[in-house]
Amino acid sequence: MGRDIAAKCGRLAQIAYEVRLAMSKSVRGDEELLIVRSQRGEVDAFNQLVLRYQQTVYGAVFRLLGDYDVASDVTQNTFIAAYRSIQSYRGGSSFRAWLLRIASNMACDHWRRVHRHPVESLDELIAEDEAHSLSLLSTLATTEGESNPEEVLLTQEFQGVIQQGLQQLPLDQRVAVVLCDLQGLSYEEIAATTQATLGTVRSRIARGRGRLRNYLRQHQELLPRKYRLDTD
Amino acid sequence: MAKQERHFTTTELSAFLDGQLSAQEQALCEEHLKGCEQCRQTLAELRQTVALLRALPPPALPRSFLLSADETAAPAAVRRVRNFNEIRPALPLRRVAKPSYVQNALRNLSVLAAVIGLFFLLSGIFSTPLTSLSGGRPTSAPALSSASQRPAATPSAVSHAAETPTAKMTKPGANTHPVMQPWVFTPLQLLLAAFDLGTQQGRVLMGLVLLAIGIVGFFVITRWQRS
Repeated sequence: MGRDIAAKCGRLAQIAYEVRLAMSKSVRGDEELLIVRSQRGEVDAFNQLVLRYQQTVYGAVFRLLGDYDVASDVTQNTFIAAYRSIQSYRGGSSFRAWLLRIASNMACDHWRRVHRHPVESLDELIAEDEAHSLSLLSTLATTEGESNPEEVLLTQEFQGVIQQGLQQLPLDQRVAVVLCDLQGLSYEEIAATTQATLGTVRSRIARGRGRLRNYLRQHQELLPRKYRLDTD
Repeated sequence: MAKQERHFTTTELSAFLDGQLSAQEQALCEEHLKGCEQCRQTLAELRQTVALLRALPPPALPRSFLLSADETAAPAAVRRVRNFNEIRPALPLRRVAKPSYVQNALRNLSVLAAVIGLFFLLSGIFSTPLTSLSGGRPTSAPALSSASQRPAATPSAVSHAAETPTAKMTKPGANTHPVMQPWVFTPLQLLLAAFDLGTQQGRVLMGLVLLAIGIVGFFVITRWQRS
């Protein structure tokens, strides 16, 4: 008797799942299907989402933290946390925005934790300073299509300048600028991500851009000609 | 439409760039920009800054972030804080060692011991009579040997000192020249004196011991945490 009930429940659950699958497939396509399968605990399906978004998440975290190794760890933890809490994803925002919300929260937490215990981080930075600098340069860009070594170096320097400029921004402004100008999130999505009002988001983006503009003005010579700011 | 008299702020120009102003503000801004070189310059710089950011190529991936079976286990480690969508870090990052509660508690205790020790030490030093500081009788130590000569001393000190072997070994001449007596302490006496907070010497010794324990403990535990 009990087994029959369990079997019927299982059958119903299977039917419900198939209906959900069919609906999601028709409404949102492949990504939604992968999300639903991930919510059922299918790691393979989630890994397909990882493959799809790892560049986005790693890019955002790296621009926020500016450290190769730490960005790698935070990105991995972001995907682990996302997998474990994917049941809570209801589809109110895009999956990309949801992932970026987790990533930026974790990056901010890491940033605050490091700045709460600066001695530990300083030790690590001193010990790995040289290796870090080299890895940063090699990580800064994918340099497809640039065969000229001078151009490659210029590009790396140029990216290094912008990365340094981003690091100089206060954390809330940096998050807003990275999510808006690098990741292309809307103001509404950034407000939801950072738990702030639209006015606050607008102000943070503007102040971040303003500071960055002032910083880049001081490093004009490292920018490609077409991107130099006209100060006359 | 009324003409904008003042210059637009960076916030307004940044929002204008993203089309985030209301339709009326947007039109007002466009109108103003036609005749304001300064605002046009600021807008151009903001636009260049955004273009620079968008021109950044994505950083090269250091590795793949595919999840393994191990990483997908133990879902209880994730906790949600503010709302159902917000995730806080579930795992401590590899490169930041989080000190344990035991270590923190021991370190705090060490600091507390050092502070109490310092308090006792200062209490013992500053309650010493001025005569002893100006080269008079060295009253800081002979509480044990001379306690029997000072009936006004605290009862505990007297009772301890009266029973101690040193007191019994004191020569008769010591009554007239107590300053010349060599200070002879057995470990037991030293221990008793250290814990006798009724005397200045006791407080000083207790303070020194606690201070030493506190300082040593603090550095040992700090090094332990870093390792």
